[in-house]
Amino acid sequence: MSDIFKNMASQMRPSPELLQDLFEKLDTDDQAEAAPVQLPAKPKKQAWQLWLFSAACLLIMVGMISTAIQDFARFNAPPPPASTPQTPTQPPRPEVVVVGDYAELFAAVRQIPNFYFNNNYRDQGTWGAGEVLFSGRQPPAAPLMRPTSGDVTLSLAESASDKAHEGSYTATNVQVSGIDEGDFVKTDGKSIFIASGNSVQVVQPAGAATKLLSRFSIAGDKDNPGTITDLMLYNSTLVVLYQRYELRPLEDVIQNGNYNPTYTEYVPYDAKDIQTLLYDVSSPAAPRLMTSFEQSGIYNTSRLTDNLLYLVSSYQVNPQKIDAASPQTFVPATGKDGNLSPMPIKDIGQVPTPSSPSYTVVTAIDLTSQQLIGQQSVLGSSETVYMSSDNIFLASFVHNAPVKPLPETTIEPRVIEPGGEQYASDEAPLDAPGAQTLPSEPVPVTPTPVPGGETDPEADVVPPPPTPDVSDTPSAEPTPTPEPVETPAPTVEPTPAEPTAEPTLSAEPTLEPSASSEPAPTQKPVEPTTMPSETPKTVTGPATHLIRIALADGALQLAAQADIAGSLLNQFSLDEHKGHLRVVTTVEDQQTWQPKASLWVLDENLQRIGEIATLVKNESVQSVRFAGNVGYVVTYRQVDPLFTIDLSNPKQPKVLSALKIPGFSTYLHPYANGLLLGLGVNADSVGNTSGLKLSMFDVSDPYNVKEKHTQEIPFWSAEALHEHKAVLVDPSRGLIGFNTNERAIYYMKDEAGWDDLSPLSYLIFNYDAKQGFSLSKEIPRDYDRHNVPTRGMIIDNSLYVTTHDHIWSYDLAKFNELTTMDLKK
Amino acid sequence: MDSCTAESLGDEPELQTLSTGTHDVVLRYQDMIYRLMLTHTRNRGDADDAFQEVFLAYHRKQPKTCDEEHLKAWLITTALNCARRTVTNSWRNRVVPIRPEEADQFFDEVFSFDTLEQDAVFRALSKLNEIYRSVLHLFYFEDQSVNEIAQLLGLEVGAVKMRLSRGRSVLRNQLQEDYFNE
Repeated sequence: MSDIFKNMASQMRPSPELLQDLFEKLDTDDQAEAAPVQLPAKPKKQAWQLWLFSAACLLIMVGMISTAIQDFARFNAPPPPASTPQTPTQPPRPEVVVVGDYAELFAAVRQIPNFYFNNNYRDQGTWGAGEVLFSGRQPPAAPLMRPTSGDVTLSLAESASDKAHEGSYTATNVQVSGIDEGDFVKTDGKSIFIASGNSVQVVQPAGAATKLLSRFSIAGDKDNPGTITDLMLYNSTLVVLYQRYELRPLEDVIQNGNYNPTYTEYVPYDAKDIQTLLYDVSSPAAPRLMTSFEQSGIYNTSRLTDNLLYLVSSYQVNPQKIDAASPQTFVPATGKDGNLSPMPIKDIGQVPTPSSPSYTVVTAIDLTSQQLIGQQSVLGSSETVYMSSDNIFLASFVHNAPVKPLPETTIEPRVIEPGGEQYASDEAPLDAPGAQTLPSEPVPVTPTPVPGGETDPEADVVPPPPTPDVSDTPSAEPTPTPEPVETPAPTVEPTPAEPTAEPTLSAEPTLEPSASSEPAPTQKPVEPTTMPSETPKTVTGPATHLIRIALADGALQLAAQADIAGSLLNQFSLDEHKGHLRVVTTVEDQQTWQPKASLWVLDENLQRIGEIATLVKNESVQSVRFAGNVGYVVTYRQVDPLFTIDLSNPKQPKVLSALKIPGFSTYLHPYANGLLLGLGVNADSVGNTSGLKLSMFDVSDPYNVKEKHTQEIPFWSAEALHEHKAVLVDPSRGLIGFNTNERAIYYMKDEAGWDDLSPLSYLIFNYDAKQGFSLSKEIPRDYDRHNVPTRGMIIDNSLYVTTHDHIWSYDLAKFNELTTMDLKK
Repeated sequence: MDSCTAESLGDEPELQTLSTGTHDVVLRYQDMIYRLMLTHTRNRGDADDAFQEVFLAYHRKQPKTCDEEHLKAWLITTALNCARRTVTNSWRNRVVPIRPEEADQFFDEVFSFDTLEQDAVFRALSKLNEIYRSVLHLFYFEDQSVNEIAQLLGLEVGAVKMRLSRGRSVLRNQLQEDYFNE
């Protein structure tokens, strides 16, 4: 096999044009840091990390509204939003930047790092920090985050999309109850609307009598094509979100020097705008177009609360075509019925250091009055969008931003061996029954005879005792008395002299580490501070830029901006509750390059008021779910701790438990009655993945989280791992459904006799509180493509499974197929 | 600097003699990084973007690395992260409306090789789960040892071996499947 790879490698070379382009960029780039970052050598031996890891991770507890926690916490209520009583000297600076006039805006766009001027313009995401260019004009007072905002019911009995399950049908699985998210399939129980390419199919669900009611297309042509990105449904109004493109003029392609007839980089269409079409579907057999709205840019996402539709897009200007005299060349435009006009300056803000010439555009459309009632645009792109009942938060990843150095102390949750079995599982526990942590020494790895003759005697040796370099181990640290100290300075500003002892409000060692649970006798007591006590300087590193836009009933007002360290996983990493924003990021540790998980609690100005700077070291965040006063975070390196965090006191988030289980969840779903459902990847104790799994966690007792039931799923991947809308969860029927990719092939099986099963399937599981999971039905799908977006929904007594092109229906009793319909015909 | 020297000199007494200027680093590592990008992104455009991003990041951060191996490790780790991010971010921007009959000519903008067999291997490799792909890539294309791969990706050596073996198995099956489908 290796010869072919050698040969291939010699062909995998960058083109001369690409290199030339890169050198030009480097020559014109002047972003190099003044102080180069000194990187320590990576530790060569990593075998001991597994052992240390097991020592570090802990099972502790979960606290929701338990009185025990309230006794602990000094402050039950969040601070009054309008004042910061503890720090009278420095008022908070929200860093909201509003632009004065079009000329200022033009100058701002012009100043963005100049390599964009040499390249084909396209939204490449953020590259780095530019110059500070804001005018400093303060914005009008924006609504603050309400102390009662985001008041999702604290009991897990009501799941995120429980409200949607009222009546006899299931709706889109969304992050926040009551806030709908756009999807390619929508239903109101009477009709199913499915988007496919540039047409919408209307299906009448009726079990065995299911039929296609109507279909309509949206016109476009070869030079100006379009595609439907999402649908939204409000009463009898169907909203079709249609992305329009335009063919890039050939002279532009040639002029940029990248035109080579034999070497086409990509199809030169550019996204132009989003057209929001409102159809009257009170007679679903005859949908009727009512009106349309337009908004510049590429569709990002959409939300619906009551009758207000919020639409987010990214609009990138072509820096070579901007003209100070024509605002439409550098300002995003919005309009109705085709009458687009550049947004007025009052609706435009900017991030302090825009790194690319693109705007995030948010509009609010009242679907009852059919009017565009609010808009807000910010110069600065954003990838992740989270909406609560009061605010839209935009987040973008920034490669290099000055972030306040994180304290080096890591107060880790402690290992606790409660002496009984930790979880009841359908499969055998990791190792010894009752042990929920890894054994004190890593499982010796027997050398597998790898074809190719690769043996490594080193790997089988019991690892040497760890150096005191890593502070993952429990140690006797003084418990910091919780103090309500706030961090007044905005995180963006480099603060040279930062006190080392920044009070880290984190895990309370509520239980003494019992000596018997200490893994290895060779472990020396370790100082909490890993680094010699030096004043941490400001470091630049990967960060997330957050923007808060207050909804204000559709008026949309830019309210606050700030940077926090690390990167977000997805929209579930953000959650607003009672006037605070909770955020979980994966931070790249500046000393070791290793990722670590961090939790932040921000106030309405997006300033840190509470944090767990290091939830866990050397792990990346895999899934996050917030539910009122509790947050659940799953991280992963080789074993997966599920962290349960008490957030009832925003200034003192506490890690309550860290349940270690093999594998990791990538999607968490509050199920019902103190149960948390996790869908993710299965793995063994060494970290070798072996397919997927479903987990049901018992989180009813905050101090004793268990993995109550699990179900192995012999597939390698599923759309649902990373797309929450692909998961169908109906607790009332105990039904869980999603589509999968690639049947898993276990290397241990005899390959000679392996029969080739279909690559994709739609799986339907049943969950019973006593019996656990069981596979109700596997519906094989025969596609030649890898990942086919699929949605499942229950209407009356049937299950409907649909892709862009096909819809099937099944009875709920035995899941026999009732109808199958090709939507393209 | 002390920890750096001590660690590196302990194992390899290689002194740093090669230039670490960005220009030279690009010339030394362009192929390695580009190879990584091709197998870890979905199309040529993404690969090109991510490729440039790695070196720009190097240029801006100017990481002071102990030795060449250290530098290589930094580049590979950064490259894998860049590829991951580019893939996550790019799909929104690259959605192109095409009619089904046109699908073939635009599908996957693949890099094409000299022989059909190589094309098949590359295609099959691209379909693998990322965790197998990284390990297989580093092992076959970059001639990294199991130990080196373990350090780079932060895994147990046993885990690397398992992923190699399993990855090979999945790759083999994928190739057979492709063969029968063509």
